Amino acid sequence: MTTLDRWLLRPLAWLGAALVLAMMALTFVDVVGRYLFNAPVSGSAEATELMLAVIVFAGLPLAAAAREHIQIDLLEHVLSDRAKRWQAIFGFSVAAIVTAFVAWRLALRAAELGRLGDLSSHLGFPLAWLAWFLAAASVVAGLVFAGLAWRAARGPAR
Amino acid sequence: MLAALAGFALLIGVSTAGVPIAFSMLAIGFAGFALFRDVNAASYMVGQIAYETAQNYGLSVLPMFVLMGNFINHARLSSELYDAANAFLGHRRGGLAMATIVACGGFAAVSGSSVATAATMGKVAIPEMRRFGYSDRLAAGAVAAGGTLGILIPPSVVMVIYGILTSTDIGKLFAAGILPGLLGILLYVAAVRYAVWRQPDAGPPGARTTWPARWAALRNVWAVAGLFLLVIGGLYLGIFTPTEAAGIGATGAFAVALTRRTLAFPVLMRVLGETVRTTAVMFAVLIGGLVFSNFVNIAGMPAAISAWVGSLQIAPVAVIFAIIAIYFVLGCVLESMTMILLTIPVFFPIVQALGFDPVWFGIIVVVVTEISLITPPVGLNVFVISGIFREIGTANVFRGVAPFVAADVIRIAVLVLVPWISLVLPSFMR
Repeated sequence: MTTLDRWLLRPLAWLGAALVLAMMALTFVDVVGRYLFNAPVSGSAEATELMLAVIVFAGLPLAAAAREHIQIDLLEHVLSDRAKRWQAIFGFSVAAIVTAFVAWRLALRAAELGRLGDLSSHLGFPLAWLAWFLAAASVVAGLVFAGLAWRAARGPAR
Repeated sequence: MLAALAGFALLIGVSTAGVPIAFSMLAIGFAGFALFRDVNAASYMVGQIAYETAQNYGLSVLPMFVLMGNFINHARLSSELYDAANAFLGHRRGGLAMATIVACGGFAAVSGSSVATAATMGKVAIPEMRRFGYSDRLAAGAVAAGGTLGILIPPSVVMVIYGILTSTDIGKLFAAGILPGLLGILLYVAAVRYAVWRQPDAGPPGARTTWPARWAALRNVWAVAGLFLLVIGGLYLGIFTPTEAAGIGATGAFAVALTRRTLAFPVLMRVLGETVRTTAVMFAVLIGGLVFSNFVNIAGMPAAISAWVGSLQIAPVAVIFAIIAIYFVLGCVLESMTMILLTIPVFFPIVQALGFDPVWFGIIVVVVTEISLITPPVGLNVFVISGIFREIGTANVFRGVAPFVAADVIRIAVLVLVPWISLVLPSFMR
């Protein structure tokens, strides 16, 4: 988990943070430019879309590692520690499989976009790169979930 | 129809068994869709939704509003808001609890999240109320209930989701939330009065503040008022699109945090990190919910229910009350965003067919989901409060919110019967 943290999660955290700030600045400059100088930033909507996708998928493994993905904890106060452990093993394993599946579908999409050589319409950003990144981040999220399930299976609850 | 209902049941079961709801919605939505079409079509659908949703321009308002709220949370504005409300109300019996409600409303005006509102205001208001000898029940109940105003008073994350799902104008939804939000504040203040009338020693009066001191306290909250006017005013007057308003709001909140010198580098990183993770959590639920609703649609549930309701020959308002009753039940298990994602695809076509205004229905839905935040067994705000102040105890907080739940039921009835309250402000927009 620590290796994963250092080499994959931290860079994703930095990337996400930088892009959130960039998105904010871009919107501000765009609006100010349009109203004060009659010069909106061209392609800003497209840049926002691309940044949004990266932020969302970069955050996926980070939220998983922080155990922030929303769960129904109806039984939180009723279950024994043993039952909670099984809950964690089952829940995180399913989440890992689902994320892996999404990663696979995104990788197929990326390969297709690469074959077609699709570029984003204003900025000419290669969409295959974006899709590959989304797929890779999903793989990392799957690894984090698998790690959480593994940890629940091995150690005592929590 | 039966398949969709089985899907819902399975979803609740699997999620209760520990699968995070975003992923159980995606898995069951995928399986159900595959049942009606085939595995290939379902796989393609999942990839498509994941890829497209993450790049939806309209949805970029979410991280920006979350960022704005996070800057505000860390700008320590909550104590100023509370002090200002207190200066005007604190000398009354139950006044500190009333001040809590009003301050929550003010905080909600710059934050789109109920849980954040409850958590931030709770840390300020509960110790203060305890110092003045307030009962724990009233203190905790006021904060938990006041926090629910966060998703009704714009900006509101839940309204954005509703707007995107139903292609309803987000600016109009925000405008529509203002008066029902004020009504909510009024009714909550009335609930406090009722609580201290039943039990006068639950909320002893505090010290009276002089008028010069009151104005001084009010000056400290200019930042909140300014931000709200900038974002919602700009949106209302059509100067900004929702996306722009959110970006401008985030920039404004950033500036506020900077001028208040609450933004050291580690704090900035924490704010940005929280924003990234919250965004991912919301989009995961969104993507899972969209996959699941594709299954529900292909299973013919919305059409079947619409046809059934049409054949019933009952008053349209009765249908609305029936839908509200269903929300009450679902609210016992689901959190607000999931609830909206799961139910709107089913209910919205019915409501539209009956000729109701989509903006008005949006407000009704948001208010109903608000109530689910403070009702047992999983009132999220209640757990936030009892998580911070463990000695109060969950059961006590639930008892404390009871008068506020009653106020909410009254509010829902009023809003359903008098659509004007929700629709008058948006009616002036172009």
